[in-house]
Amino acid sequence: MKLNQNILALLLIVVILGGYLLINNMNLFTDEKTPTRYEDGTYDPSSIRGSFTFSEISEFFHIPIDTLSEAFGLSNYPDMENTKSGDLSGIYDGLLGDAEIGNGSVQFFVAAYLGLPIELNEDTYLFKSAVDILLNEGTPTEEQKAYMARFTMDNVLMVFDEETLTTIEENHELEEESTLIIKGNTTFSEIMTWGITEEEIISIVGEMPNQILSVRDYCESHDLTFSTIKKSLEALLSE
Amino acid sequence: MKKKFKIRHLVQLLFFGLITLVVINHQLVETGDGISFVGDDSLHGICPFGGVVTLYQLFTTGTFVQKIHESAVILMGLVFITSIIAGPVFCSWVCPLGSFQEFLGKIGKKIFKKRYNQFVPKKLDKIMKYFRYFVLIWVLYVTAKSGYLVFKDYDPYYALFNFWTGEVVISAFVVLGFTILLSLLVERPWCKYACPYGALLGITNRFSIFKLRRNKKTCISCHACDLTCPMNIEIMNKEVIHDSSCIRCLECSSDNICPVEDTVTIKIGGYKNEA
Repeated sequence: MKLNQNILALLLIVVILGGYLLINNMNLFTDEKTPTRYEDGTYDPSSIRGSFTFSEISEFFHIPIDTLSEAFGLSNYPDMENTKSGDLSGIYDGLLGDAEIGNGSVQFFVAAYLGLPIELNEDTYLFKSAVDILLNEGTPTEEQKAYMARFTMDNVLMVFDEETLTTIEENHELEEESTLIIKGNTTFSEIMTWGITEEEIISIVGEMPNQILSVRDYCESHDLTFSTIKKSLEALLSE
Repeated sequence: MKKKFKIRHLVQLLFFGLITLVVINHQLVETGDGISFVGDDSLHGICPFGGVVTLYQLFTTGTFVQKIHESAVILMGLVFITSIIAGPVFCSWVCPLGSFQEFLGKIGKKIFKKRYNQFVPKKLDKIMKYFRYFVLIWVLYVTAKSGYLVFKDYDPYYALFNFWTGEVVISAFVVLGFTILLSLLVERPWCKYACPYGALLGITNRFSIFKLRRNKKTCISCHACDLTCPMNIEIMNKEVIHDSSCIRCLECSSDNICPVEDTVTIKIGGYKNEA
């Protein structure tokens, strides 16, 4: 049986172009903004990055966006859907004392809402509104409940008028200028994309770690102090 | 008289145009000026080779290499389906970088006439064709080890479709520059000597359902097939073309250059009049 060129052309168009259109329709072209998954296919909340919008978080983790708005005191915030998780720290900048409500708080909230494990960092706070939602609707573990009891703060009531939004925007711009901060889930490959070379990493940790590892994971598995390594790497970044 | 219009060129144009549109739209969307009816995926999302390089990480950790996601793995599967059916037709009918080199080759043919694609001595050509397997092994190894899309920094395909974005590093531009220059002398130099994906797909020449076959009974030994083959394969000495560098462009076939009907075709099983 001979394969006619026209049939071959049709085969390629149907299979490859058709496949592309199908994938597009299934919204699988999610770019690099896809959270990583656990082995069972569930998305890992600790892979939520500051660049994820609340509508993306809502979609990936099946948490209503209104719940997220309420949890983070943003029920009156305009354009909540396109607000990024990392914008939180800019919104509440200067209003929370030494505490911070930011991307880490979103990661924790999502994990506790779904009953998924997450590393507990002692710089992650939640508003009382978030804790109430978690206790009523979520499935936090006992460890997460104990953590919430220690790291809860009263909601900051804000009116998002024009002046406040301008201040937030300015904070956001400042935040963007200083995004090269090493966090627990920052991987070595991310650090390299920020301009740190292999040699520089080796000079700090003594060898070149697997680039897919987060700095914290690497430090824990090699008995290194995360905060020390983080400081050294950030010093290089600021040069 | 052979038809001047070739369906393959139409398919190449279709995919080249599609990829160009999608990649441009990806940039436009980021600035808020995207075209709504055109996809706006990143090049990594629509590159099936991304699916190949992420396989190790996908099987071992259940995650994707940075910037790669499900779509690339599905596209990889679709390309393998077409390759199992008809061999590495993706290379000659779909791959935009292949089409780009082929277009440059037409300029080269105008400049060098019959000397075009004959500059590399046959023995050296045969040895150099194995280089792409080293590239394939290297790419798979370093990507598995690092979890980072290392090949992006050397990939002429990425450089070609992202040259205006500021995301392409100099090494990728250098490789693209060499590919462009060499395309004026040699037909599809990247495909022939360096493409890791072509190396992988080329293996399907051995076991694809439809194979490229020459009917030795009706062949008039005119060498037209040998002279037209972009990959410099000696077709006239073979009955079934298993050569891993064949890209199934069918330029040698009776539908194109071969002057005898049903003598070089892509088919299942042998020819009826063969012994």
